Amino acid sequence: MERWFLTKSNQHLEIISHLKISIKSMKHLLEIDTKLLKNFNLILMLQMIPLWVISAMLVNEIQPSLYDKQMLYYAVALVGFFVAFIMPWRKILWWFVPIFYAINLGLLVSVEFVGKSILGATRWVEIPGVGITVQPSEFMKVAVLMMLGYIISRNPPSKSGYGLWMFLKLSIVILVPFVLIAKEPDLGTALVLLIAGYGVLFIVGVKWQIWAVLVSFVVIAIPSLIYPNLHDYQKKRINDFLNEPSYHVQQALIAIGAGGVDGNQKDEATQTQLKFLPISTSDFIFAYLGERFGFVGMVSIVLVYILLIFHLLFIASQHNEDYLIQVFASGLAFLFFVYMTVNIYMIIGLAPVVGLPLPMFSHGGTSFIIFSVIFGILQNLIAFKDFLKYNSDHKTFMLSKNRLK
Amino acid sequence: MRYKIVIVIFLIFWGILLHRVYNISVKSNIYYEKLAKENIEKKIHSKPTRGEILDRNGKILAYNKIGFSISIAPHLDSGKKKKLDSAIDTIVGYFPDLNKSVMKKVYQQQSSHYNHKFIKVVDFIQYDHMISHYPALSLNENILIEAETNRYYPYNKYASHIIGYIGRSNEKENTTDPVVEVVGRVGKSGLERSYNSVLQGELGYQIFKVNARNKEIELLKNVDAKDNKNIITNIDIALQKMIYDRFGEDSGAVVVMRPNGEVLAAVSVPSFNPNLFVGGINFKDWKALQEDLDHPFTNKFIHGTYPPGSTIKMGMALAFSNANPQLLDRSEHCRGYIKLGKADHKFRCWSSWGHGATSLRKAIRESCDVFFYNKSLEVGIDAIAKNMRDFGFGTATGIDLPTEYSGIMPDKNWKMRRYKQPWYMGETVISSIGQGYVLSTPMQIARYTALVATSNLVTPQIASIVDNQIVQKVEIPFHFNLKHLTEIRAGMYDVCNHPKGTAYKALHDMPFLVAGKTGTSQVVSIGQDVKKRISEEDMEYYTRSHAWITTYAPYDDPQIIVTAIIEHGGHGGSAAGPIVADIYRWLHQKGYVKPVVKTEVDESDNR
Repeated sequence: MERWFLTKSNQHLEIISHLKISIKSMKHLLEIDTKLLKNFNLILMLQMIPLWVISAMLVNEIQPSLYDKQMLYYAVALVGFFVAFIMPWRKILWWFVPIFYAINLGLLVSVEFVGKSILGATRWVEIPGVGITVQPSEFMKVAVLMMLGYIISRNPPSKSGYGLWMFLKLSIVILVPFVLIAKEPDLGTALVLLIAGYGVLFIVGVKWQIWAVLVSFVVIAIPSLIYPNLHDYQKKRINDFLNEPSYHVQQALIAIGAGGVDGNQKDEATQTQLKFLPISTSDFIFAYLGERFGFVGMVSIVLVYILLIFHLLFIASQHNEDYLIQVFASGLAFLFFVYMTVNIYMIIGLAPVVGLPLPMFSHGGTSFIIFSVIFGILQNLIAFKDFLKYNSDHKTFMLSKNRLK
Repeated sequence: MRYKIVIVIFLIFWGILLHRVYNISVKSNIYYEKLAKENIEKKIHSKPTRGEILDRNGKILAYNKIGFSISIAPHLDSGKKKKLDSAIDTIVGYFPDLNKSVMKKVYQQQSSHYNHKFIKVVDFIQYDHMISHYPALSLNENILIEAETNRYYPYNKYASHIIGYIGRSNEKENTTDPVVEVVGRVGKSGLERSYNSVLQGELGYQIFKVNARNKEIELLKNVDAKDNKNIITNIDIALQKMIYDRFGEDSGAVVVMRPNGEVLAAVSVPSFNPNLFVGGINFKDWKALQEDLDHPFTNKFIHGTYPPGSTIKMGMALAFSNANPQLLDRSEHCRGYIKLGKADHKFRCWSSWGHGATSLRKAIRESCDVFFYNKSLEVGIDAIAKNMRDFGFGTATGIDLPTEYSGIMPDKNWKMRRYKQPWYMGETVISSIGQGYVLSTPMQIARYTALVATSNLVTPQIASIVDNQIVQKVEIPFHFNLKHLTEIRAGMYDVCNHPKGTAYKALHDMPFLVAGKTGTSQVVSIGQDVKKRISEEDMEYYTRSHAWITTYAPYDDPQIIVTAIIEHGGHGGSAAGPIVADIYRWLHQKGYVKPVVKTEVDESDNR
C-alpha cells in the first residue's frame, strides 16, 4: 500500500505520513488491547447470553415481526457496548461527566417545555432536525452513575463513611433528576434512580446515623406527603393494586397460572397467542415466560438474574479501592434488582403497575442499549483498573490528593 | 457488612417473589387453567325455528312468516349524529309507515362503545314489501338486512283462544327457561303457552375459540338446533269458523268433542286477533279489547264459570243413584213448589202449575225441579258433592290449555272454609238444579256429557300429535246403575225428540237421533214474592239468564258431544238449540258421524 502511494504521486506524501502516525497509534492501541483482554470479565458477559437468547425466542413466538427489530436492537446494543468499552473513560471522565450530566439535566428540563406528551405523560423530547424522539430519563441513569462515580472517586469516603455534608452533596446529584423525572410523570423510572443512587451510596459507605434518620423520615413521610401529591391515575393504580387486580394483571395471573410446572407448547399457550395477555412482548413478557415454560422456566430466569446481581456485587466488593468500579458495579446490581423485582412483582400482583421493563429481556431498544452501555463502561473500568500503573498524569493527581498508598 | 445487609434485603424480596410464583403456577394451576379456557371460548346460540300448529286436516293455524329485519351499524350516534339520521332517513324513504323517533330511541338505547354489533331497529318487514327495495337498501354499508321470521295466525280471531299467541318474554320467563332467553319470545296463552317447550325447540350452539378482541379463530363444536317440532290438533278449523260466524252478535261458548276426548272445536265468542300481540300490542287496541263488556279476552270454554242450571240434572240423578239406588225408583209428585223449613220458604219449580207425578225420565225430559229438590234433600249435599266431583264438577278437566278454571261443587266443608258459615238445607235444594254456589265451565259440562253418553270419563285434548308423538287418550270407566242410566239417557232423548222436550223444536228433525239437556242459569236471583217469572225476552240484556244446551249424538252410538252456552240468551232450547242443530247438520254433511241404523226407542214411559 505504501508503495502504491510512493509510485503514484508525490502529492500523497503528506497523507502517507498521516497514515504512518495512525498505524503507530493503532499499534499503541493493540498494546493496550492485550491489557484490556487480560482483565476483561468474560463470565459477566456470558451470564447475559441466556437472557438475550430466550428473550429473542419468546418475542419471535409472540410476534415474529418484532424479531428483526429485536436483532437490530441487539446489534445497536453491541455497538453501544463496544463504543462504551473502548472509550478511555478514566482519561476523559473529568471533563466528560460534568458535561454529560449537565446536558441530560438540560434535556430533562426541556421536556417540561417542549416535551412530547404520549398517553398523558410527558417523557419524550424530539431532537431537532433528526426527527428522533428520546427519553432523557433513560440516559439520566447513566449520567447519575457516572456523576456519583466521578465525585466519589475524587472524594473517597473515610472508614466510617461519608459525613452529612458529602451525603447532601451526593444526594443533590440523585434528587435533582429524580424530581424532574417524577414530575413528567414517570414515577417508576424516578424511583429506580432513587433506589439505585442511594443503594450505591449505601455500598460506598455513609455514616449509619444518617441512614437511621433517613429511614425513619421516609417511613413517616411516604403516607402523609407523597400520596396526596400523586396523579389520579397513579392513585387509581395503587387502589387497584390494594383491591381487585386490574384486567392486565388478572390476565397475567391467568397466563402464569395456566403454565403450571413445566409450561405449554407454543400453540397451547393460548392466553398469549390469542392476545389475552396485554403488552406481552415488553412489560408483561415474564407472564408469557410463565405460560410457555412454567414454574421451571420462571425460576431459571430469576436465578440468572440473581447470579448476575451477586456477581456484580462481588465485583464491587473486590474493588475496595477503585470507587469507579465499585459505583458502576453496585449501581448496575441495584438497577437490575429494582427493575427485575418491580417488574415481576407487578405482573404477579404484588406491586402496582408502574411500567418498568424486565431488564435485557423485555422487547424494547432502550433497555438493551442503555444496559449494554453501562456494561461497556464497567468492563472498560475493569480492563483499565491498572491504569494508574501507566498513567503518570493521573498518578500525580491522585498523589496530590493523598489517595495513593 | 454492608454487602450482607444488601444481600439479605434482596433475598427477602426474591423469596416472596418465588413463593408467589409457585403459588400461582403450581398450586393454583387448575384454577387458572379453567379461567384460561373461559377466556378463549365463546358460545353462540342459534335460535330454533318455532314449530307450526295445524288442524286435523293439515290446515296451518300458526306458522312463521318469512320476512326481514333491518339493523343499523353501531357507533353511528357518537360524534357525527347525522350518520344515524341519514341511515334512518334512508330506511323511512323506502318504508314511509315506519316511525323515525321510535327507531332512533331503540338505537340509542342499545348503542354503546362496547356494542360492536348492528342494532336492530325494525323487527319485521314482510317479504313482498321488502323484496323490491332490497337491492338498493343492501348497498348501504350502514344498513343490514337479515332474514327474520314472525309468528302469524292466518285464521285470526277464529281460533285465538285455542292457539293463543306468542309475545316478547319478560324477565321472569327468561330466567326460568334458557331457550326463551335466547329466542326472546314465549307462548303467552293457549297452545302456544301449554306446548311452549315443545314448539320452541332446542337451542343449537357453536363454541368458538376466540382471541382477546372476541374475533373467532376456530370452530370447536357445533350443535344444530332441534326445531320444527309441530303440533297437529284435533281441531277442525272450518267447523270452528262456522260456529263462530253462526253466533253473529251473540256471545258465548261452544265445545264440540268426540266422546274419547278429542276436541273438534272449542269456540269462545267474541274473540280477538292474536296477530296484534306478536309484535307487542298497542295501547289503543288493548284498551278497546279490555273494555268490551262481552270479554273477548276471556276464554269462555275454560275460563267462563257459569251456574250449570238444569244441565246438571243427569249428573245429579247419577249421584242420587250412586248414593241411594232405591231412591230413584220412586216417583215424585210435583205441584209446582216445595216448602222448606219453619218459615215455609218456597222453592219453585220452573213450571208454576207443576208436573204432577214425575218419574226420572220425565224429570229429565221436562226438567222438573221439584223432583230434584226432594231427592237431594234425602241424599244430602256431602254425598252429592262427593259423587259430582268424580263426574268432573268442581275439578279441572285436564285439557291441554293453560290455567283452566275448575269451577265450584260446594259442600258443607267448602262453605265453612269459604264463608265460615254452616250449610243450609235450601242451599242443597238449589244446588240440585245447578244454581247457587255451583259453577261450571262449558268444557266441564261437555266432558260430563260424554260420561253420561259412554260411562267413560275422558280428558279433553286439543293436541293429537305433538312432535310426531301421538297424545295418549285418558279414559276412566264408570259403572253406573244401568237401569237408571238408561232412564236418564232416554230422558235426554226425549228432550230432543219428544214434543214436550225442551229442545224438541230445534233438534227433533236431525239426520240422526240427538239426545241432550237444556239449562238456564240465572244471572239475577228471583225474589220470593214473584209469583210468575218475567219472560227472559223482557229482561235487560245483561240481566238475562245464560242459555245452556249439552247434547250427544247419535243417541244409540254416541260419536259427538256438543255443548253450547249463549250468554244472556234466555232459555237453552230456543236460544242455543238452533246453533247445535246447525253444528250437527254440518258434521253430518262433512261425514263426521258414521251412519247407524235408526233403532226404535222405547216410548212406553211417556207419561
